[in-house]
Amino acid sequence: MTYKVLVVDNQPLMLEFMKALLEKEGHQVKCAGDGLEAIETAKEFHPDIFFIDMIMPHIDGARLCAVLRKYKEFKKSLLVIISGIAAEGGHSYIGAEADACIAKGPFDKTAVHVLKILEIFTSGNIRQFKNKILGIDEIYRREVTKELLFTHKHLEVLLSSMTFAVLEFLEDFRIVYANPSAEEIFRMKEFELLSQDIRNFIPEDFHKQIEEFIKDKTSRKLELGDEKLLQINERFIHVVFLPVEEGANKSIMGIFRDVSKYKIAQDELNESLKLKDTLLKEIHHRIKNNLSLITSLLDIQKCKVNDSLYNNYIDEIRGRIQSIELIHEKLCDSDDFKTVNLAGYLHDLSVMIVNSITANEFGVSVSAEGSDLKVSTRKAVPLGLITAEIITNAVKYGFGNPADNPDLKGKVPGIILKLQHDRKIRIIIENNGTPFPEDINVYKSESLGMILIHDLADQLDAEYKIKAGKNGGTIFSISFEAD
Amino acid sequence: MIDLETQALNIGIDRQSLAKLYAVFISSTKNDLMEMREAYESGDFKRVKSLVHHIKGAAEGLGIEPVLRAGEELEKTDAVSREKHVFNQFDLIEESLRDLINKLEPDL
Repeated sequence: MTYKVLVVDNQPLMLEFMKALLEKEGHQVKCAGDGLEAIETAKEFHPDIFFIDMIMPHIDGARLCAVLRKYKEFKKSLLVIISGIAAEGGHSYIGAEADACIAKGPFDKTAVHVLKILEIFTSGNIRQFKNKILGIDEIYRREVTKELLFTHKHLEVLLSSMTFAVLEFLEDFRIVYANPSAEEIFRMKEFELLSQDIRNFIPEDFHKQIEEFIKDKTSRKLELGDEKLLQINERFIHVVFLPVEEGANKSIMGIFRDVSKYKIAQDELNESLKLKDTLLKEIHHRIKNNLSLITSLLDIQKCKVNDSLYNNYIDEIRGRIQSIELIHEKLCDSDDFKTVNLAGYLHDLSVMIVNSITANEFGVSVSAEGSDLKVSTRKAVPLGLITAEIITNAVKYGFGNPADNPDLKGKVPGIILKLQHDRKIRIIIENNGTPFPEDINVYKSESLGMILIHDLADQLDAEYKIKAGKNGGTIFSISFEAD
Repeated sequence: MIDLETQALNIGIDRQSLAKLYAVFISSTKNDLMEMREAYESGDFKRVKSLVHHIKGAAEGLGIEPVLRAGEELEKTDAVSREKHVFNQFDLIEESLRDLINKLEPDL
């Protein structure tokens, strides 16, 4: 009886020997140089018998047997391992799927075992060879092979128990290995994945990167799924590709990590942060509105009382409340709800106080210059209160009624805010009205405004000065460490 | 001279096929030996071991004893410390191949 036989070996000499032997016996023989080629040839050739070498690149003999058994058409084919490592590895390395095993030795001896197996197969009694290694006494054991097999076994155990999916493919993109986790991610059995183009399983957007990585021989690693999300079968995947080179055998190992859980957690976190931002914005908005309500009540109160002393008090209190109200307004518009733009804040606060005291009647100009600096609310609140005091004093005592102030004759009353920032932050507030009286010791003054400035400067660990300007007016300066 | 007729009969193939096997053996072993020298010089001992395994398997099949023995020596040798011995084995394999070619000249 003659059969269709497929011989799988990466040794050309062994392929030639088996072909010569089997063809002489009248069998139809085809050869494959590795496991992948064997699968592709077998699908077309439909062999009755396979002679398979054990150690081959990419797909070894035991794995090839296991893969072949998954195909319906090879369930009953005769699978014979013919290997030089049979003596060292023993039956445990050959796997459960092979029907028989021949220890690869001298051709004359090997030929006898091959022909014997064919004879027994024809008689239908092949089961007698299960768990036997024919010709084991005719070859010698090699310690080196034993060591290699041990390492191989370790790697096999490690790869099959890994939670990361591992997929190995050749430079022509054909898959040669998939571990159990890869079967799960790709929702396919290993035998279905083998010899398929890996690009069939990866979104097209990433193909160019993979192709360029394979072309570029200097590249040692490619990571996908970090910057741009990579989705495979509704899962978010992070993948690392690593080149593997062993002599002429080159392949690429892909390590796939399912990061869906992290992605979902990250999305939830982002959602919660967004909610937190909305809540913070709402809180600042409500505080600002409540403070605004208080200043409006003070305004109403001011209209009811026709006493300049009380009205002065109300203006001072109003300025202080406005300084805090404006911070909350600025925080509502900030990106982080923690910091405010200092120059913008102090400028707007100054304009607000000037307008509320003068009712926009005296045409006071307010300008700000200097660096674009952000400070935390911890610093912005005391600085706002200090500025409110300085501006209130400038308007009330520096300008008074500008029309009656001889120091402002021919001038537009003005306030300039300067912000300097190097090692320290320095704020200068200048006005061109009546100079600050030289006989007042600011550090010992008992006025509430001065006491507040002093205490708030202390809180900021700041140094401040108030003095008359060389060309008239008053200069206030304060300096402190940046955040 | 190698008695191809008898060896072919023992194996169960014809003389012409056996001559072809020798030709394949010589060509593949030459290539393996060249690659093995390069791998050894670049310190890739893992590759050297894999090629020795390959050469030995082929030599064992055809029963080419000198190549088989040199392969065994290479497997046992500490490749790093016994450089001279390793090169000697490479030379022995090369010499055996030359000898084999001489003996098979008319059939190749």
